[in-house]
Amino acid sequence: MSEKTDASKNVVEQFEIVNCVPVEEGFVKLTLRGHLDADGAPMLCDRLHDLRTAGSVKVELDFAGVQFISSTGIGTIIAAVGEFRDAGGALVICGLSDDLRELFEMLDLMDYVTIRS
Amino acid sequence: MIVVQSIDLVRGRVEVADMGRATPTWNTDLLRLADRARQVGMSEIVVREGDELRTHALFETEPRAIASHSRTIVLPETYLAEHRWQVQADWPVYSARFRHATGCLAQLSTYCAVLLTSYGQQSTHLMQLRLALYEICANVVEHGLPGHDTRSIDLELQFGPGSIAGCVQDHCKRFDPSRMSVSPPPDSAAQRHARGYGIHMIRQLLDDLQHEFNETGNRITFEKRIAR
Repeated sequence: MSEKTDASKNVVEQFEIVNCVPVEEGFVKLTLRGHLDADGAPMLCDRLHDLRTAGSVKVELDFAGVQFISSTGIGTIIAAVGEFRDAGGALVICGLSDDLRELFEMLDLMDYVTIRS
Repeated sequence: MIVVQSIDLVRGRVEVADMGRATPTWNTDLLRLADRARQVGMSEIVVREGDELRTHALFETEPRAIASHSRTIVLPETYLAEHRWQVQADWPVYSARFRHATGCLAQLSTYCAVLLTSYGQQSTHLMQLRLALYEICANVVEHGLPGHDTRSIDLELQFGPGSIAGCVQDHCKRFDPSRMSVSPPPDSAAQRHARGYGIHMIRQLLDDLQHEFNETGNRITFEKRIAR
């Protein structure tokens, strides 16, 4: 009678920063995973703040492991882009899935945020 | 083997345990029980699985529809208070009640994803609908009655041949996302703000959005057209 649907395939993956690698002086690459939502965004916000405070002016965020971004996540990225620019640096995004790229396009963010394939 | 735990004649409800779910005759036995229960005027069957979930299968319709559309969703009862479904014009309508608790948004998002995936939604539609519902409910949590964790959020998803419609009902103060003035995102970097994208996203992602404030709270109905 009942088709038991496996929720585990769709379960919300808790957001985490799985890797933080210095590429060169002042340039750090962060590898992200999970759902960048209201629960996960504060972690990213705090980490970016810490990096800026520590002198990093350029950050690359690898979104290949991120399946979902809520408005809070979008807001965090927008705020961080502005703050890194103000500091004379840049925040770059790479690894966006087609679905998330479509979301950025829908919000007219493609020209605002530097996105690499 | 079906183990009937209780029969509620007033509510027309038969409650069974999930013991024996793994046996090959489970579906047949449950359909047989549903058929007999319906003959004696019962209106729904409830399957409990431990403390984690409740599956309410209404059988106002044909048993074959029960077999086609029943979805058992395993989510912690801390968040998912109720999950039920019925069939209208051959298409299923799923409804769920989520407890207004910290973390319920993620669980609600999972609930939507499980249902949408089981109906073969393309990943783009899946992500868009999941995101829109997340944002609607995030507004309930943020603007409705912050701190009132005992309230609940009711969600309904109605599948159809060319669209998915539904509604979100809260128990909060008035909040109408369809009437909030939201400007398009500005071009200038200096004018960009970190907040306020939720409403914009909801409007962009859904094809129809209506708001009604009733005696319970806000009722937001929506529709997303799906190209199949």
